[in-house]
Amino acid sequence: MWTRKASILGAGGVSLVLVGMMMSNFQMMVFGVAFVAFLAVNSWITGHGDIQVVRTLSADNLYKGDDLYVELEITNPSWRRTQQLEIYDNVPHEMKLRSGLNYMRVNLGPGETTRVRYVLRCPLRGHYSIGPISIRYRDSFNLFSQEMYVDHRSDLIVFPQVREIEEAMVRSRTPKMYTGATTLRTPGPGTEFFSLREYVPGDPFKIINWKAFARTGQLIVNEKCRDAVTDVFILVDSRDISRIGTVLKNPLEVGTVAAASLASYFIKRRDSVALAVYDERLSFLPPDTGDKQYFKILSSLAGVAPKGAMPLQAVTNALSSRFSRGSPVFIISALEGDGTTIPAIRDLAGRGHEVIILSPSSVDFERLVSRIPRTSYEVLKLERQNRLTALAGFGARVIDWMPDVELSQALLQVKMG
Amino acid sequence: MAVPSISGVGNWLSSATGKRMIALTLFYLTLGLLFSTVAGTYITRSEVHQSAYGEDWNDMSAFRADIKNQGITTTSIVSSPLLLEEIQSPRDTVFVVSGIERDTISLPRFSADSSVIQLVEGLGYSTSEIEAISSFVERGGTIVVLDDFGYAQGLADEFGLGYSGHQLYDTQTWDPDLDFNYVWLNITNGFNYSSSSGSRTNTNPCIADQDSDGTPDFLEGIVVPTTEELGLCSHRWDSINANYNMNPGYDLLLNQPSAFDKGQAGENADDNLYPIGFSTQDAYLDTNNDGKLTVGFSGTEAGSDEQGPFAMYVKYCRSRNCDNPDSGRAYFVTDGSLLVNSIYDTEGVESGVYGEFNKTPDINDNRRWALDLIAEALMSNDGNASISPDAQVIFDESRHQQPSFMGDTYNLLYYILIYFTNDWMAMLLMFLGLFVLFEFIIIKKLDPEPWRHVFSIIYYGYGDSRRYEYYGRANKIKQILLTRVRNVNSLTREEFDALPARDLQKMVNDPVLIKFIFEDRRYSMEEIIAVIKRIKTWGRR
Repeated sequence: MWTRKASILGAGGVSLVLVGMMMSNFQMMVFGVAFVAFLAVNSWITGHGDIQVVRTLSADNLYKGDDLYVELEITNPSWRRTQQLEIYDNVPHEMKLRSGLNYMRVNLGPGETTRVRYVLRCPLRGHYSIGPISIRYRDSFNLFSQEMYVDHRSDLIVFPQVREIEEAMVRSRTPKMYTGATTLRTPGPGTEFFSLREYVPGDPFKIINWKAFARTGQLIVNEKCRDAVTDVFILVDSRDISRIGTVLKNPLEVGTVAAASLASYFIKRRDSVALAVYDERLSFLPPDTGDKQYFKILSSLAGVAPKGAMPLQAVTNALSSRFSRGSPVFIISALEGDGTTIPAIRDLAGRGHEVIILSPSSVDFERLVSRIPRTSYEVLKLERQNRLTALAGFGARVIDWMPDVELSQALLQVKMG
Repeated sequence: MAVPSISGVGNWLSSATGKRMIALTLFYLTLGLLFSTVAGTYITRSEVHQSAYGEDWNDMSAFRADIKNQGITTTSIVSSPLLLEEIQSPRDTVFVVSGIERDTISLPRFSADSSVIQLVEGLGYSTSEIEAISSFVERGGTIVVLDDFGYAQGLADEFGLGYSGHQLYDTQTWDPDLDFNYVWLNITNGFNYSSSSGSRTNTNPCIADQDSDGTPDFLEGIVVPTTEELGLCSHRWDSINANYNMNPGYDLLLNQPSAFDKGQAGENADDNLYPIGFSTQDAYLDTNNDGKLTVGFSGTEAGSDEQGPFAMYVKYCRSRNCDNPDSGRAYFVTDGSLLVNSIYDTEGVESGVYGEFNKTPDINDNRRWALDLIAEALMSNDGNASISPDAQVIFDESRHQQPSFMGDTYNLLYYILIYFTNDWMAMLLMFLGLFVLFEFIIIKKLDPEPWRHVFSIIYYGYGDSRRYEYYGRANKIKQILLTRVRNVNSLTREEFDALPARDLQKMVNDPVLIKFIFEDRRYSMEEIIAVIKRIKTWGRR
């Protein structure tokens, strides 16, 4: 592509030739021809973008607010110089450049290598991709430039932040009926040793006791005590209305933080945690425990985006067969724009579930971006109080979560019916 | 090297790069086709006529060779006669136009008349070219225009002449050894400019004889002149008989000649336009274009041809009677074949130099006439027979088909270039174009944007301001108050709806709120605020 300088030089050269001919002025014509010749010669000696780029990330998964260290290694494998080479690593605009630059201008000789290092801060959860790498090369006089891409991408997941809530859960008035995994004196899937028995076909190889096999010559397997765990269900409201507020502070963002923190807390206690996210449809992760489940939950929460308007009762009806008897159910929702909230929670409570509602105050989040008239704000708050009071009246534990209150503080404010 | 699979090619074709490449290829193919179609019309090799650089019987190589042998530079213009304006010494230059085979390309130009801009040009040459030729003559140059049915009309108009455009048949002077197309133009004295001027042979250095001793002035005192002493008049010297020809008359042999319009080729001394050569009275112009001589009463009968005599050779001089040897001259003859090899060099024709030619023209004075006018234009008339070192003869090849590959295309491009650097209109257009080009570059041609990372997540948010007004209405507030009363008293919706008004008043137990519930009227903002405050405190009691 011709730069503006080259275009002006070219047009100037042609103009000088023409005007020179018109005025029979040979000096002018010589200048014009010199300009055009200068352009022609430079067009033959432009650089190139034939480079190899390798990107290294400090982590593939990280938590919201963490720093990501990125390093680009750029090598010129050609026998020609690159001339003026600009390299730009395309970074999602949701990420903030904390130090260094994702851009470099170099002139690499044959076989030369250079590195670009920069640090990104990831203030927003989500699934991201860094790349491709944009390359622009020019000639020495900046007359011609060419752009191209190296389609090298690095995917990463930014999980929602996980807050420490153990102390809050202990101090809160939330009933302590789910006390984590307890060992039962019966064989089954668990962690503690129970007994030895003979191998039967179908047993996994990993539970074979090889020492006993060496000693007796018979295949013996280890049996574990069955862990009795509590299934904790976390329902996250990801409907379109949950995006009220700013991009960084809205019911959905704080809701994902709360869901991740609760999942972390319960999985650490070796409880099984199930996650249901409802927006325009229902996404359900069946109850399970362990790091794998924890990773699944965080990945799922990282990809949550506000959309749709699925009513809560449709969710509870769909999951009614999957709810374990008496298991606690956490509902994280602003409780806005859904007329089925009260009957759904009444049904859940009626079936013996311990229902805990963590409700970010959408009215107060909205105030961060809109000037709500004072009277309207007060009436909206009154209406919300009515709704929370009604839900508490059906036996649910209701937490009215204000934007400026930490999750651990909010968990201490259980409103009993 | 890996052979690409069909699916790989299909994928590439459906990709953005593939589609772009296909579109680009098709674009350039179409462009190439268009260009070759246009250029093809100029690429076709054609038979060349009346070219000074051709060696055929109908070219003029013998004439050019004679001039070169006399030490005069010969050259040609293949683009446009506009270049005549660039000639520094027009007095030492002869411009020969023999056969104008092509019309000009009409390009717009400024005109001096009321139309301001002239879009369509005249015949043969553009107006700018005609002005350039006319200016060349005014500056002392000599032009020779030989044409019959071509496009010389535009140029002839400039000098007050009109080509009739019809073939002339002369029943008296046609050559019976050849055929009726060959006509003799007999001129007793080529220097009798007008009826009153008498013979003005002194205007031509070859036959200028002030003392009337039968020897031209520039050879006075020389018995046997050398070639150098003869200068440009060597064609009149008979070296065998050691005799110098002083005859001012010419017998010119013409092939398929035309003639000037009668009304426009009369003797006009005011315009210094001198008709010198005429057809006989028994000559006819084929005005009905039937290819035959149709004799009618006085040539006025409908369908008959026009009867002569007609002017066929006209000389124009800037000075009266061509007295000033430095003034410009223009020679117009109504036959483009006057100087072609088959007539000009009869000996060469007989010896077969110009290929097969089945006729043997008689000896004629065409060569003498042509070289006389060259001598008149380029040789001094002061008795010294001196020739300027800048003397040159230029042949106009711009109106001839070019035999070389893409020669006409080159000529066309060169013509356009000359047009844009010589014509005021074109120059204005060019300046305008250059101005627009620079403006376009400055406005539209942007350098690639510098890359930089922009962090942009905090600049947007979401709210629902449409509901705020609804939540300020008294009815909505009343509804919220009643819900609050129902919740505090743990009543179902049905129980609450069935509640008597008296019981509801007892439950509320606040006269202001009771009045607010039961009274249906408009409330001021202050009243609404007061009610909301009471509702907030009501539930806490």
